[in-house]
Amino acid sequence: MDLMELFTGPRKGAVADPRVARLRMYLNNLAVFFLVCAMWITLSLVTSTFATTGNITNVLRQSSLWSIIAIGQTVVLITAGIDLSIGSVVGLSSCIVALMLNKGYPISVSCVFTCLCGLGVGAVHAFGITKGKLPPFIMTLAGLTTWFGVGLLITGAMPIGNLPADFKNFSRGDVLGIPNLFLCVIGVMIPTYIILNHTRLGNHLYSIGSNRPGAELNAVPVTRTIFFAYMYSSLLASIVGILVAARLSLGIASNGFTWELQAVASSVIGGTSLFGAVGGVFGPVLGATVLSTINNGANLLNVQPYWQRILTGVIIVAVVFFDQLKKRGK
Amino acid sequence: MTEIVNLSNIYKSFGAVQALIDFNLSINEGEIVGLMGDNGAGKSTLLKILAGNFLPTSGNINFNGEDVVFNNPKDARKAGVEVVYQDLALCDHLTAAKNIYLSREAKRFGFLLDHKKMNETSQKLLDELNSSARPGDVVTGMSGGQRQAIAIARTRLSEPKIVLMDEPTAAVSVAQVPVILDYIRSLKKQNHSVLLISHRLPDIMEVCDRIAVMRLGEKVCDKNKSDCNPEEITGLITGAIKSA
Repeated sequence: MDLMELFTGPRKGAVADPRVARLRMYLNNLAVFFLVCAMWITLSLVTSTFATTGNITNVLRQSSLWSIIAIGQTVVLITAGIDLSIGSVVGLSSCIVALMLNKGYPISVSCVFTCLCGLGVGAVHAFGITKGKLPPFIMTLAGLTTWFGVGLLITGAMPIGNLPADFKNFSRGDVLGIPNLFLCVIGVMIPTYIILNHTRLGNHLYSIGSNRPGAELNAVPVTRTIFFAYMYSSLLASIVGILVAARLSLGIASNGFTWELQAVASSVIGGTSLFGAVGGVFGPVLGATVLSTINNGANLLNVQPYWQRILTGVIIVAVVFFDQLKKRGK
Repeated sequence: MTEIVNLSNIYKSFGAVQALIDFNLSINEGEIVGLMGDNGAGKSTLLKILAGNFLPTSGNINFNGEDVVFNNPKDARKAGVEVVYQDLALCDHLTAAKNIYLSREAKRFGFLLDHKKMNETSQKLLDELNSSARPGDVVTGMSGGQRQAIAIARTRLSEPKIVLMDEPTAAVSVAQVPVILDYIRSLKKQNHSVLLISHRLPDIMEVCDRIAVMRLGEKVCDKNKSDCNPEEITGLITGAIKSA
């Protein structure tokens, strides 16, 4: 008997090589990248207003905000969960930071406290999901309405303005020509990339999305890891809440309304699987750029803005449909 | 001979269902114990108690001379219990190396994964098992034998006191069965104990020193292999013979 041939079974599928899987991810990202390029070129040709510095900066600012929440959403999606509360957390955070600034607290204190609130919100979600055994969808859907309600309550449903100039200027400023908001995206991408690809925590996030019972049997700290995912997502939503408040010079509970779906759509356009264990850092950023370009293009072309919401819905259904086909194809 | 595991008066119930009733078992150092029984006899429940997945409803576990409580798989692993689960507990989206190292990933600089070390060690472990699985490949699409090799390679990362194996030969090709049995013998040579759960009487008869049979949550037989004959074991499993 040839010992070397033992354990060598015939290959059932063709995707065993991670280089192939990685290549697919690159190809998906590359396709989305070309999509963005095609949209930008088309819009530059058909409108006179798209290819202006002011407008491009505007698109990038919008996509920066969506990129950050999409990265948070991706971390949750990797665990085969979902965070539907992101939009409300953005709104609530913009209210908290605006209220504190209004009361005269320093910018740093206000921002740190808002981020701590975000972490707390994420911890509440994770507690319900791990200890209460609630499906992530239900827990964060409850969060969606709850945190929106809290935002309305603490502001009396009024917009909070009168924010300090230094705070407002941050969102319009730049360092060496790079907009601050885009620097924030880089500042989120780098640590997230390291966490996902080069730490035990990242490996645990993927393992839970891939086979949660199996991860449990292998002594993966499942509860702790899920807490991380939801707290990270809510933290990033809080940061975006702060940035939105700075950008609009306004804290209001309806800031970020329905952005959880922008985050899901950005993430899945960028190749994240809603079934878990597949996703990276670059995809959601590209996905967010696609959505903000559509948004901007629709405005410039005088298409009613409602179409953008309809299109987001269609994109989610289409992308997930193909994701499912891939899964069934195995 | 040193006793590694001594289970005494173990009861386990799930609601109204009594999965284990007054179960006693001791396993010595370097001993291979075969555990047989029909579906629902309580074999997997017993394995999961030893692996830290379930707490027994009552009873005592003595491990390596100390009374222990395994609250979770981590406790059991720390004490020196390694497990090959029946479903293998592999994560399809991860590479073979990351599966082997799952939850005890090699690190450098205190927090970054040491991909190189994980891949090299995994390659060595898979080579030892004559597996063609490559450490950098994701598990999706691997054959039953390659998957089994990865699950077994996990048990080689530490120096376990005992390896629990749940049906390790059920999902592999006929040609791979002897390799797994050889592996079990090699564990014995290195003085590791093995608890082997299997439906395949020939496998059990081939490698085990002692055979225990369970029926409806109770132990109905616990004898040295030399005192057993296959007909008796089969009778005990089916209930045709009440006890031995």
